[in-house]
Amino acid sequence: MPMLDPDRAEYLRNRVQASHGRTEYVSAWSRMEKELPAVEVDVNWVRFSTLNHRTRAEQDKAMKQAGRDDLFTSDPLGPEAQDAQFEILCRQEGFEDLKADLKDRDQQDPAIITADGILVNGNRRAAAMRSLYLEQHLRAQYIRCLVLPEDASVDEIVDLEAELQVARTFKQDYSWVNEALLIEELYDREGKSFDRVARRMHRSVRDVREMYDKIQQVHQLVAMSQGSRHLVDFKERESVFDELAKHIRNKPPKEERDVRTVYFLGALSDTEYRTLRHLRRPDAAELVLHEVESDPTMRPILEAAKAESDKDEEEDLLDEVLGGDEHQSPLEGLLSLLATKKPEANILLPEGEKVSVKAVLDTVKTAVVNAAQEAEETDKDQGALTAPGERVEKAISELHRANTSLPRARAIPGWDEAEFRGRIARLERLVAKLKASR
Amino acid sequence: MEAEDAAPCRHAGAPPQTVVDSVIHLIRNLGSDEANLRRYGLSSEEYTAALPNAIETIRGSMSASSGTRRSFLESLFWAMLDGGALSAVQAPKYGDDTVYRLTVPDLGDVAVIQKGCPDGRHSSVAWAAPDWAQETYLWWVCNSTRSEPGEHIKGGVNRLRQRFFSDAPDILDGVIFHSSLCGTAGRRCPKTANGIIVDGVAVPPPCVYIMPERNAHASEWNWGGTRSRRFPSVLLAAFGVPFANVPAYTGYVGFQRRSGVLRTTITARYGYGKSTTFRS
Repeated sequence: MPMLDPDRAEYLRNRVQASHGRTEYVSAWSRMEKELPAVEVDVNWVRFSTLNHRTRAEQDKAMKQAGRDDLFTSDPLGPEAQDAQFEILCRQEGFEDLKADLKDRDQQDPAIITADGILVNGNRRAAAMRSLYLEQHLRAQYIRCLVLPEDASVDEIVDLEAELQVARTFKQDYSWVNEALLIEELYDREGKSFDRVARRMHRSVRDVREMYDKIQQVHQLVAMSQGSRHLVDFKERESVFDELAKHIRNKPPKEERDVRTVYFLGALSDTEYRTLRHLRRPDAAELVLHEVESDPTMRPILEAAKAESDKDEEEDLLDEVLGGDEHQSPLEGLLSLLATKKPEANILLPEGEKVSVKAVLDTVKTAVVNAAQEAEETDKDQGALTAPGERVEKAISELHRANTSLPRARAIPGWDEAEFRGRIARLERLVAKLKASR
Repeated sequence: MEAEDAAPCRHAGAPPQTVVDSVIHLIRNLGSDEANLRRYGLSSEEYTAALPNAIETIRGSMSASSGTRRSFLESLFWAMLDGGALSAVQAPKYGDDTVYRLTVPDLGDVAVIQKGCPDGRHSSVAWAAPDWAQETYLWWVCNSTRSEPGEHIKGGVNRLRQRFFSDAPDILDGVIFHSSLCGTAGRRCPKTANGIIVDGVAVPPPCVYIMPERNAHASEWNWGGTRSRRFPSVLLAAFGVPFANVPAYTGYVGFQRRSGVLRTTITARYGYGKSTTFRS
């Protein structure tokens, strides 16, 4: 059971008592008694939840930027954590639209708060109202809230959040990264059972498993970056990680490792997932490496990557992350070099020149796109190679069926033998043409 | 990658098509604005009749004349001569085809055929490689911002491809896209760090693309960009690019015949870690 702030809890208790028994029904609340007391409190009085799953990825970035792992945990209700959380909420996509809507239509649905006034649901709305109030929109001063019982447990609160905010109707509020992080947390809490997570999330088992798998890929890339990249950096790249996770499932370790390397380079360089799709093949890394190595502008970059990789041999994070104990390939070395540097950083080349990581990533994107194009052409060649045989095979199969159905058709009045013979003659002419062609 | 990726730069400040359309609309409608026409002593009929000739005249005076292009190239070649990269420059005489004969120590004579924007028929098809030239280059001196530089180059290479696979006897060693607009605010260049001052103006290194060599039995022509020529290193050296770094500043054009389809690749290179490709 979470520790309540006694002063705040007392204030809210009195507020509830003063609200003359007003309640509202919350079906998502797990207890039998689903009527929760309704109160209006000052929008500056409520506290944002720093455990909000919708902002996990953004918090992760804020902590790293501040160099403070405990920014949201040392005093979550204190001004520092609360201000940081307010800023995160204000920067979220759609925040201005939400503010405009609240300004036009006022608050439509109540927020839900703990017995000491921490927002379980309605963090964005409260932030938007607070922001409006700061801009002198006085009607935004009070926020309508439903109050949870004082004995509500942490599990009950997380369940409520899952019910309320991840149910499909609320999904638009979540970036996929934050939704996947919630799935990951529930998976750990629910005894590593996807069935139970799926039931709780009102999603199919397949959906939650796929979300879980793809967030694991993002974790790997973020871990490999050693702090230069954050989960939130990849919220626009869902399809990349989705297709990667699906492809590498049950693939041999080498293909898994190679395709992952290529996809990670694609994710870092903003390569379209539709382009990367052509590189879901065992030789993906070879194709990309060929393009990179045949570009003379990349020679010193590969040398720099190798030098860095030799230096880091003792603590080979990439091997650890990619799950192998083989030596890094040149492409993995390049990935490691680029992943561990922020896009605005520079790479120092062996001859003393500098080049920005952003510029190199653009060039890597060119190499990945070229490799994908060549892979697509190879697939087309393969298709062209087998197409005639496959079509003849289909024709043979159809002729077998025609042979089987012919006696029955002939027995039916209206059968036109002459027309059928005409078709056979056309077929024979085609076969003769096929035989004669060289 | 798109056609614009055939070059490392983009145009800035070109008016959007909607503005161009509005100007067209304005010019067309002026014919019915009798009060305005009266101020110029024109009737509506005279305006309509004279409009095509007027547009033609404006077009001629606004596009870079051959003389302007020539002065840009001449200034550059004289600077190379002064710097010792060239031992002689023979500029074309008025009325001749605009072909410069550059004498390069240890290489011999190099022909630079000066042309306008690459996507014009005259600029990419109507040329002949002189028989005295050890290497021949087409230099597109193109100030047009109508398309992105890469799109211009792609248009020109497409025309050159037809010629490459035709019976025409001569081929090019390379093409160069470079004009007085390069490096200005209208066409920002990522190579300005290597720029030199020519006639008081900062000029970045040109975009050089090596063309493929003919081979009747091949299915790929410089597809991997492995062909090298000597003049690019001479040209780039004038911009302070060391010999060892020349491959990182030299682009290429390649062709490939695959499953009956002819493909083109155009790669621009502009320093270590920096290249961009258009591939069809």
